[in-house]
Amino acid sequence: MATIEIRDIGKNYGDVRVLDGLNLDIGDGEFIVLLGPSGCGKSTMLRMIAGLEDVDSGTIAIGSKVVNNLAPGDRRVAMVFQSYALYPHMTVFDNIAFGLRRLRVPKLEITRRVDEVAKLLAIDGLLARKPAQLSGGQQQRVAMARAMIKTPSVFLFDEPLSNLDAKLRDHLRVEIKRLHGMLGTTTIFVTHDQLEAMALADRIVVMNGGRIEQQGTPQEIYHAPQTLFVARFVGNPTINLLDGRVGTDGRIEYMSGSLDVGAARLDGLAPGSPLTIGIRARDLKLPGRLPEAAVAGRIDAKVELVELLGDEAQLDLLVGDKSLVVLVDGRTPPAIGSTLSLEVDRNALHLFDPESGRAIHKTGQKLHQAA
Amino acid sequence: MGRVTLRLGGGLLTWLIVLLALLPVFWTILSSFKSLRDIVSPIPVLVFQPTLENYRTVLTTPAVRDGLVNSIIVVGSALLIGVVLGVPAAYALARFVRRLKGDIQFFVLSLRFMPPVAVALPFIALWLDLGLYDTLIAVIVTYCIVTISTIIWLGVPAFEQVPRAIEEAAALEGYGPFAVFWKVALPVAAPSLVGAVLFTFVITWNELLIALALTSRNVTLPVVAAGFTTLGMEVPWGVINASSVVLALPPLILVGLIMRFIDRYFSRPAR
Ligand SMILES: Nc1ncnc2c1ncn2[C@@H]1O[C@H](COP(=O)(O)OP(=O)(O)O)[C@@H](O)[C@H]1O
Ligand SMILES: [Mg+2]
Repeated sequence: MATIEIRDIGKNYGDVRVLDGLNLDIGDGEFIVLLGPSGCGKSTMLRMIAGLEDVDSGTIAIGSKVVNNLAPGDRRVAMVFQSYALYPHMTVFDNIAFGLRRLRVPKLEITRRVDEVAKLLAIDGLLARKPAQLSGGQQQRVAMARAMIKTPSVFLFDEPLSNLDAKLRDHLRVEIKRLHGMLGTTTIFVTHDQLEAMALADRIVVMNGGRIEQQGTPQEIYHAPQTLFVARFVGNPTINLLDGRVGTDGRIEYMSGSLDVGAARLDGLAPGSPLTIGIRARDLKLPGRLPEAAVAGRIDAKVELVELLGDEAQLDLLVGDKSLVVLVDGRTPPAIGSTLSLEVDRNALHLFDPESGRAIHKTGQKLHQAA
Repeated sequence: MGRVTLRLGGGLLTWLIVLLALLPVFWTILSSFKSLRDIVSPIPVLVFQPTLENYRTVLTTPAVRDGLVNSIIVVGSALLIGVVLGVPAAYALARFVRRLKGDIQFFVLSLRFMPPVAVALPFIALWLDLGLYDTLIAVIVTYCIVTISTIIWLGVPAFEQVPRAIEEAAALEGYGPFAVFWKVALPVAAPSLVGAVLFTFVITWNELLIALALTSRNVTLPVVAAGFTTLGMEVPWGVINASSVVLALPPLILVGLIMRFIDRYFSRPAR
């Protein structure tokens, strides 16, 4: 097990700057998820930690030892690839044992250890098969067994679940979490799936365009996004965004109405300054669901579409020419065409500077308490 | 209705093409068992008294046995050298050479574009000067140009099909570049490489022009077979046909054996 310190690492492919001075500290045994859209540099970063890509600038240290010039095999890291990357010409047993063979581990010991990890991952019945005779989920379990067997200091996962169907994905996600709980190995897990990130991470690192946008616990990332990018990228359905302006007496003007967010919240902002208001779909409530003191204001909207999702119903609403998405109780959803006066939860409002995209901090008030 | 007609027509066309391709082969085999009188008869003879006389002539000619031995030595050596040098070169080109890869591949390919005469003539002068004209060494070295270049040309795509991630997985397990090549890339690319080697074998086994130009006594089997056309006063068609069959057999047997090997070791059972 090990800590990882990443200092100012940069990477260019030709003229393209793929990673631009990233800093990241990872604690011993931590489960870190690198989250970001496709092409933001997640895999590049992971592969640099693994030693599969050269580091153009900066340093990477594993267990407080700089590994920039160490070969991949000398870093005590194990990686699970999106494509599984099993050796097609070897049996499952040989796939798992391949690394131990190089270390000249005695035969009996190899058999014992392969059996052990195979049992752990419930693939002990498949050891004699070739990879092509396995399903995608089984192949990924073999890849995980292969990564685990050498008891590495760091696990690296590059979108290991994205080639699997939804049900299997949920299943293996739980499995990965369970294994991490059991082994406690420092883990870096790359994904573009925010749900996966939320479910797995001790800490999420949101990346965008080769930079880190924000890092924090899943709760912090979800409830206190520091940038518009993070607010939009995390959360399903996507956060509702409205253009507004700073009014007087702690009010924000938007389109036809205004929201009372309290003077403290707008401290230091000149009246008339533009704002972007972010409200998550679950934070817009049907009338009467919030204590009156928590209501920042009401938004009148017309129901355009109702989608039943099970426990919840997703409403697509129209406010003027602006559409909003709201999640409500699925048992008694409003009728299509009806007009609602939605209540806005003051504590769940996110405000952003539209120019810089940065959050306007909730001064004089604690961060929204995550439930 | 139209679809059925189309499929029937397609099937018919396929069989027609197969028939066209196989007819000369069939005719050659048939004629190799005929006496000369039956072969030259103006009306094609289908029912005839089969004879092994042609095969007896071919197999009892000492030149055939010598040619066979020479062919095995020449093609075997050139193929071995081609594999030993060409396969690692193909891997290096596929994985490590970025900038000049296209140029190198085109150069290798251009060796195959060249008419064999253009290769043969300078080599005659070269081997005469070196005192190696009409030796097996000279033919082997010249054939190596063909085998190495063909194996590189076909080997590069074979290695490019090997997923990079599995080599990276091996590197992460501590294997160095040579072990990654030997234990991962080579076995995974093997089925395609076997095809490349077979193809190379066939083109060198059947090669006539360079062998004809570089030797006068130490000849290979195709040269011997070509020599049958001038055996006597009249063209010995039966002997020519029999020697064609004899010449074609070793590659056929080899291909058959290797295909069985490929099937056994590399076939992926369906899920
Ligand atoms: N070998 C490469 N050569 C050139 N550009 C590359 C290479 N690998 C990745 N890139 C580029 O670097 C950027 C980041 O890629 P990557 O790290 O794979 O992103 P992610 O994993 O977040 O989807 C992308 O714009 C991609 O096109
Ligand atoms: Mg990626």
